[in-house]
Amino acid sequence: MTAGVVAEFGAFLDDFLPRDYAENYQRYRRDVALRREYQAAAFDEGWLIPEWGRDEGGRNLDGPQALAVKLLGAQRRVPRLLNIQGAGVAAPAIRAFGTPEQRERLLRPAARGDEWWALGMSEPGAGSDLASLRTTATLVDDVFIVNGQKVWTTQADEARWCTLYVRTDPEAPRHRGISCLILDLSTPGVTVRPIRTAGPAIESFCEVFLDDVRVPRESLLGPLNGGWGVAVASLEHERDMIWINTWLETNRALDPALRAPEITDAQLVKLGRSLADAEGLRLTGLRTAAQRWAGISSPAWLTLKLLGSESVQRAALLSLEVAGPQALVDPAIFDERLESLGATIYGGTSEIQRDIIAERALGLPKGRS
Amino acid sequence: MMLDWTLLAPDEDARDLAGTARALFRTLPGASAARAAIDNAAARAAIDNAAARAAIDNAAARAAIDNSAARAAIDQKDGAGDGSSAWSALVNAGYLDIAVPEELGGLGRMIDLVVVLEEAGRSLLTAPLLPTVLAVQTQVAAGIHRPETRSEPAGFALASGTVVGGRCFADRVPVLGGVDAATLTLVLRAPDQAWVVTLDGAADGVEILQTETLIDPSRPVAVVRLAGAPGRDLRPLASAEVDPVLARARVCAAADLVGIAAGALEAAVAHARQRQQFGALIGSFQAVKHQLADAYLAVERARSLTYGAAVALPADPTGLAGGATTGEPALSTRDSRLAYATAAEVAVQAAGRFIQILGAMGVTFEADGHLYLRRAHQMTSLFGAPDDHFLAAARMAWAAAGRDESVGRERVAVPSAGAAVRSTGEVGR
Repeated sequence: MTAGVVAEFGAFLDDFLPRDYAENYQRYRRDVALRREYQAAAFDEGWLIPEWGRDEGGRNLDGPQALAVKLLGAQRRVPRLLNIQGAGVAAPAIRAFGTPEQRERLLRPAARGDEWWALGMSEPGAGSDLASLRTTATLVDDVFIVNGQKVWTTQADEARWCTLYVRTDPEAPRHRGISCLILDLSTPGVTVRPIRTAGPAIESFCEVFLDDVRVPRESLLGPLNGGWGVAVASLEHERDMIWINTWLETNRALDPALRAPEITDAQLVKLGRSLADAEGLRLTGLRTAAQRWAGISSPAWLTLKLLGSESVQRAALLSLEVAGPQALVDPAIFDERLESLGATIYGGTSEIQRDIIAERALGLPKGRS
Repeated sequence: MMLDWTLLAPDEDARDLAGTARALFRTLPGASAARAAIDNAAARAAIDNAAARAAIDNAAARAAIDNSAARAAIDQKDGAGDGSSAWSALVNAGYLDIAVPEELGGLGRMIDLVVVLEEAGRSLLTAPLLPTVLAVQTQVAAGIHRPETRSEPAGFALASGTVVGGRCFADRVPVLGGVDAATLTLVLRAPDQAWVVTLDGAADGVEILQTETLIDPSRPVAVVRLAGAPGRDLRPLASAEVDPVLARARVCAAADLVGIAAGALEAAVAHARQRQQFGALIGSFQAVKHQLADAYLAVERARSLTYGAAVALPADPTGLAGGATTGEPALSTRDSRLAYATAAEVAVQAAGRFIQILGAMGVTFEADGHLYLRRAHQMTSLFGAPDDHFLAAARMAWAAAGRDESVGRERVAVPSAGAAVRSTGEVGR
């Protein structure tokens, strides 16, 4: 059953991808048109989020089947979605928390990549400590008046929509007074300013200023003051996609080392460690998914973000080392290294991940002193 | 090859087995017996010294012996039982039969054996389960297994040596479980050839040079010389066949080490959850919790690699036909090395963190930290440091990638027998 579905997806990829895709992957990797076409075609055929129902644009696959499809996609290194957080974070959140009207209007274009999304979470004073966010939204006659600032907002300059986390109850304790609004980024009062990144990042990075921005009440996503739940659920929703992506990125970062004409024993030891990282990541992802399907409760999946991001970094560092002077003329190598540095920061820093593991997996007391 | 992922989450059978094993191992000699064994060894060493020096020391050494004997007796009163009854309990539970082919009287899968060995490592079991399992599984892989081997403790070793006319020669081989073993199973390597051989422990030409060795006397290692000892069962191997033959033993060693690591980590976490300093539980300090989180991640990674390697082993354990030139043995060989290397590394790491987090108590004899550390280092001393295995696994993958330009489309392709040097150069032997 699963094998048949996977073979069908493989046939779709054979049909869609250019013949020289694998050989010229480094070039195709940055081919914006191909990436856009891939997302639309994969969605139209039900392969992009295959676990969704057929009426939503999926194939109604069960967990193991959907995971098998995604793994094959990673093995074949399918084109990266142009706006990952749209299909990967915003769409599942809209699907889980949205009103029928919101789902009808927003779900399909988000998943297909026709409308891009930004995630309005971090603020200058609220990074890892997201619950301290200070952007306010005051409800006046069924309209939220929003004031504040977001930062590190990926692709806000190109996105149509933003899931904007705002404080709607200033009296409530930190987590309890936050709501999630669906912000149309073309609304008056929204100013988006790109931030230059250290290297040629694949996605842009912005700050967003909000001055008396009017958001209609029906743009509330989830319950009023229930935004924390929306944030947690939407970040955990795609836990398989997160490790699959970092697994792919780790393998990609290892390519130059694996293909190097020369390599020292010391570098081979590091390569062995990176192979263990990649395989350990894949097997932990599969093992924890299998546990989930079997109804076995295990916190091991909490390690996937930390392991994945550190695996990518170690692999990229190794390939830079193995390349020697070649890194000065091959743009893929140092860029990969620079890009990898974000992995242990975005989506919850490694320090926060260790806190989460210690508290939720090991049962250690809360505290950061 | 597509992995059946469902096997990565041990099913109800395996979990039941693990639960029963854990309960049984709690009643068998473990940490206290390990301490007594170390004590005994130290005391005997002291006697040797003392005999050469002064009688006063002798008295102290005897006192130490009495002391440890008393402790061992307390253990027995607690239902610990002596060594031979512990061994019978393991045989009766059928643990030696797991992952042995049915036609040889075995039953169950490698994943079942892995979860049992993990529990044995966790409980610091002193009975010779691991050496016997390593011997049995290596015999199975080499196609020379005799079911009766499973009823008596066996020793296991990897060594340099040679076989001439059915007679075995090797000098000073450290044999895990080699003290009082009924049989010894050795993988002997010469420069261009290798053998898996099973010998009678009492055969002519098997000389036990030393019955007491350091690091972990609770799982004794004997130093043995083979001076023309007749091999009872013998399987010659081409050099390239050694690696795939050892894959099963490596997975078993990895399982033991994952258990050791998990046991040390659990003990460290338990301490961090009750010890207070500066008016707070020390487990609330990030400097402590991040160390433990890293160890947890490493335990889970090693466990995943071990389960993955167990599931990836070729269905036919003796399927060496074509040996290293067919895909499955090559991949499972690489996977077994990665599993062993990560498990060995985390066992050492977790034991070290446990000792650190206990504070001064950590360096005392009465705390369990050194027991886990001894186990972990005994294994790496016998079966290789993690880096050696990372290096070998990487060499396989690197050599394969040099030949296969489709890297990334599939898992690492198949290396041909013995080749580890890319044709373009001599670097990276």
